[in-house]
Amino acid sequence: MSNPDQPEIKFEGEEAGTGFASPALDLIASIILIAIAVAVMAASVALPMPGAIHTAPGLLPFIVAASLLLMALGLGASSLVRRRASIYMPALLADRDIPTDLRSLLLACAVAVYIAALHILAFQQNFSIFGTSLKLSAFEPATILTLTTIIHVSWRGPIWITAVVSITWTAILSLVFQLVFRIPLPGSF
Amino acid sequence: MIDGFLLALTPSLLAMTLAGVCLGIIWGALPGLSTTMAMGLLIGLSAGMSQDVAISFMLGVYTGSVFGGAISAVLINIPGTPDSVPTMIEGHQLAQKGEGGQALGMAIASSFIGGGIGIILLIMFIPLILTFALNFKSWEMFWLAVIGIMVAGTMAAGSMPLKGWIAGWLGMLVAFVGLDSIHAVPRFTFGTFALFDGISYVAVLIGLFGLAEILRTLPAKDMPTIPSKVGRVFPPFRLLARYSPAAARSGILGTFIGAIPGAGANVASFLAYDIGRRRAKPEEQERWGKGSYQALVCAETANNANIGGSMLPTLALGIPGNAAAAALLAALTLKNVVVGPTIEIDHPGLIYFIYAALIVANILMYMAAFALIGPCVKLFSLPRGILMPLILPVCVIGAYAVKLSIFDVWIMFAAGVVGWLFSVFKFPVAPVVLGVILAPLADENFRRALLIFEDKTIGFVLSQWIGTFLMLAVLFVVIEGALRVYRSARSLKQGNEHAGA
Repeated sequence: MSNPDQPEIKFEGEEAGTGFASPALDLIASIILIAIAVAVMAASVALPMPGAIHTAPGLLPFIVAASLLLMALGLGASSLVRRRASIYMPALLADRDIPTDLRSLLLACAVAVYIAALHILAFQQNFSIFGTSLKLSAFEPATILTLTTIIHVSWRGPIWITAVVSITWTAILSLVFQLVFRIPLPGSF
Repeated sequence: MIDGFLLALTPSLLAMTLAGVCLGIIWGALPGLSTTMAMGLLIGLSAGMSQDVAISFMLGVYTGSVFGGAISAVLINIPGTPDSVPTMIEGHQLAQKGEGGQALGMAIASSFIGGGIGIILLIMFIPLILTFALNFKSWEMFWLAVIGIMVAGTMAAGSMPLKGWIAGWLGMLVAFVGLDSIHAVPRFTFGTFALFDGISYVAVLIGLFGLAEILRTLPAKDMPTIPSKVGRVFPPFRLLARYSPAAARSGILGTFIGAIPGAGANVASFLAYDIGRRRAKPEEQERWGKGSYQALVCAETANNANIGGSMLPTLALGIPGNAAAAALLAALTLKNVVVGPTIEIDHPGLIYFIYAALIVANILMYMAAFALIGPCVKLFSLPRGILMPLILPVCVIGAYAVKLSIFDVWIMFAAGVVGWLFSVFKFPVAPVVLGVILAPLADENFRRALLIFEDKTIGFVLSQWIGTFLMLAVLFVVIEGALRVYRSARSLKQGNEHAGA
């Protein structure tokens, strides 16, 4: 289909790089999946059954979990076979860029702190500008702070540009959602 | 139909469609921002819109973003969407020869033609499918839902369909959380009241396609090279006329691929590209892979025709043709629109409005695409470190907007982290979405079918020929997937042996 002289195709998107991982990673995935499948099967059996078994609330979840268990076993078996045959990078994280993954985890922590701030520090201050009533909530300060931090860390440009971008974007979102879409923002009541 | 057009052409709807198309083109053009991500994020925003406005806006985004992937594919050699990979193979070669503008012009024209073919075939075939679909009962609907999830798994995971199926199955498990639809028994809620209503599929969608993408791409350091000049964009008419038979063939192919539940624009575009090469004249075949306009036309026509095709199962059966159509289905559900065999009875006139909105979006896409190439090139030069974080508050608002619940924002966060872990373990995410959307349909219909078959023989069950045919189709997908795993494991082993030697 493709020309052999072509340089390697680099695709960016949610399905980039799906397929075989290193056997060790696939083995870990299969163990996690087996645990999930067994837990769901047990929880499905424990569900109350108000009518006949045909209409039991846990019937399809049990079947889905049981077939997931089979698939997880298949994945585990394939990873063991590949590991034994030394196929495709035997080391656990040989095909991972560890510093990038650590940065991803740090970013996830920052996002968690941002959502927690919206959750815990929720407040609402009503005010009016030129007759238009607006609301200031935890969304604005939390978003400005989070964006400034993340952009500063990931871009490393001048801090004033970072702050201007964050404030402008937050103001645009806040105004558009309050005045155009009329959707309350998280961090308010 | 005329009423549908009159409604779609009202200034406010026209403006919203244009806004959706422009947003879609820019979104699709930016590497890493896919059609499904755009659709997923905007579902939350469409919650505040009326039904007609939301449909026009979402269809505009869908049409625009499918084309948008071609811009980055041609100009910076990074396809924004999987279906733009063949476009990238040919288009970037043309761009390196200084014909990038013309390649983009051909891509725009092909996308327009493809979109048109898809819509025409949708209008032609939907009455037939709706009539046929009225014969579908619980048993058939259950198997259709299973096929949708399995095919999406097979298509998304490439060499390892098992991972795609696992992803789809995990999506189904997520959808089982909440009150069961028949007996109202709480399932897997662990006493948490917020889970009684189920896990919001919109939050899952935004997490998997929005936040996960931010977590995956923002920490990566590489940046693409930006072209300084694009050149002439409008393609000459003779070039368009020369490749019109290839465009027609690829358009029809793209529509039919789109109509298969679970098979997306990427399958359509690759298949049309491959068939195009086989049917091309020898001198054109020589150019394949080195910058062929015909190859570009085949791929781009097919992926945009796929939009109309994906609407067929979505509207007629309630089974989304792909992840983007699943997002559209989710948006329609938010507006209390239940699509499926009885759509014309439940929502008279809606289907004609959707046709009209698709046609309007396709025409606007053609006009807006030429105008937006310049701004897109400028946008490519924006550092990713600035661009990607700006999507974060949109993800948060999108997840929050549907039920005004911060719990859904936490669900979105969890889905985002899981989505990132999926990329670490090399699992695809699109089947999860199909699993989440289709599981309630599968669950309800499966139990209803078992109740109907309660005192019937196996022979009676097998005599339901549509259901039996669908069961065989599932078996075929499993066997084909197993063969694919075997072939890729063998090629990996051979590669390893060569490397060892």
